[in-house]
Amino acid sequence: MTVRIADVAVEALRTFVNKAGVFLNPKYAELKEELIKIIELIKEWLGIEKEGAAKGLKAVDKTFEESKELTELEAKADESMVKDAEKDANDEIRKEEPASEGKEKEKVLIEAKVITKVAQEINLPRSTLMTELNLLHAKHPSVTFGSKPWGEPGIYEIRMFGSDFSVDREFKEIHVPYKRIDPKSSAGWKSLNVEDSKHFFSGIVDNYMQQATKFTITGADKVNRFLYQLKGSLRGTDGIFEWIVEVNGDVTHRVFIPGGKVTGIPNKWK
Amino acid sequence: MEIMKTSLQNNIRLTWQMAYVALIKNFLSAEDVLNYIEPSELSGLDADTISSLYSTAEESKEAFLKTVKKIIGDISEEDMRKCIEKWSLAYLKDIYLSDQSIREKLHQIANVWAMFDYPEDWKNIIYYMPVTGNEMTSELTLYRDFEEFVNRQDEIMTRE
Repeated sequence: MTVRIADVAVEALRTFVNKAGVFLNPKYAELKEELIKIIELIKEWLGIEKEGAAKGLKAVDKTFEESKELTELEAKADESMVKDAEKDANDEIRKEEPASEGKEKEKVLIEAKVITKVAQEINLPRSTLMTELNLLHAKHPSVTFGSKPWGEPGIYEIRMFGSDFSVDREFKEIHVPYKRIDPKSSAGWKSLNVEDSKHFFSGIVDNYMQQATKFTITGADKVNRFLYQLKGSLRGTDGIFEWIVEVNGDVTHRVFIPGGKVTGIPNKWK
Repeated sequence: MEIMKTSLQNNIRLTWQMAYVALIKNFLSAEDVLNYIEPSELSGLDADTISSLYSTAEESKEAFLKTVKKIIGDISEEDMRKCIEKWSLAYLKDIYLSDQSIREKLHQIANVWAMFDYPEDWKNIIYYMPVTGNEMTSELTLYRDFEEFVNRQDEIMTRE
């Protein structure tokens, strides 16, 4: 009899261990019930104290509840991945609505091919986007990159991780105090020139415009505009970032002035 | 900025030095240079160099630039500055001669200003640069200042 009880106990424990992974999944709630019964039997056969058994069962239940939560999260993640896969399969590039504050942020693992899509979505040449991503990634393994300075108001944020081609993209509403960067102005076309050390800088800098000093300037054409000046540094050089925003929300001037100071006067290069 | 065909046809003698600066500054492509270079500049070259120009033009801009550099030899900072000034004046003349509205022209001038790294003496013809409340300015007075500026620069260049 003793041998039999021991055999059953060992078998039951082995089953428990073997099935533990499955057991943690709420889909196998029936198995949990079975195992509880087996444990109760073992307890009876081996004369385990009732209190100890209750503790053991509580622990099992706790693990079960935790695992249930985990599995639910995993299921959500799976669902999200399926949606993303469907989205990727769609050839037509659809513009994403920005996630409003409080909404769960959408996270998408972007493969190399998706970079092209993102580049199209944010109206950047793919090569420029890649250069930006690579430059940022080289400096910071995990870096926030984004906004959409040349097009609609900035709504994109790309968080880098891993290899050059993997980014974790979040859609997030970023409030920049302008409507768009005027593509016909120097701010528009010079910002895209990677060789231009003064005008080519990441759109993420624009996210800090709210912290810049804002001036109202009257031009020689007698039109009022807003000048934003922000102390900072670019590629290791201290200076100021400077934007001029027209009353209609267009940015016509966007530049970094090495050694510049916040003065309320644009283009003070000396 | 669009390629300055007006300048190339009317305002500028495209020498190898001017072409070299234009290539460095991305004003012109290798193909543009070969299309618009002064015929006398080409006729002074031997057959091998001309052949090299056309083959490197097809290869890459960098290769073409090297060939042009071989033709001009060393270029002094002073010559470089003069070439850049000639180009900037050419751009301004293009704007001056264009049939755009005054407002459009003023915006173009600001673009060219950025293109040439904001020369200090242009500040008075930039529409967005602040003025004190007492100054009697308008788009029209600004444009007249621009006209004067272009004529003055042109005279200086001609004298040089």
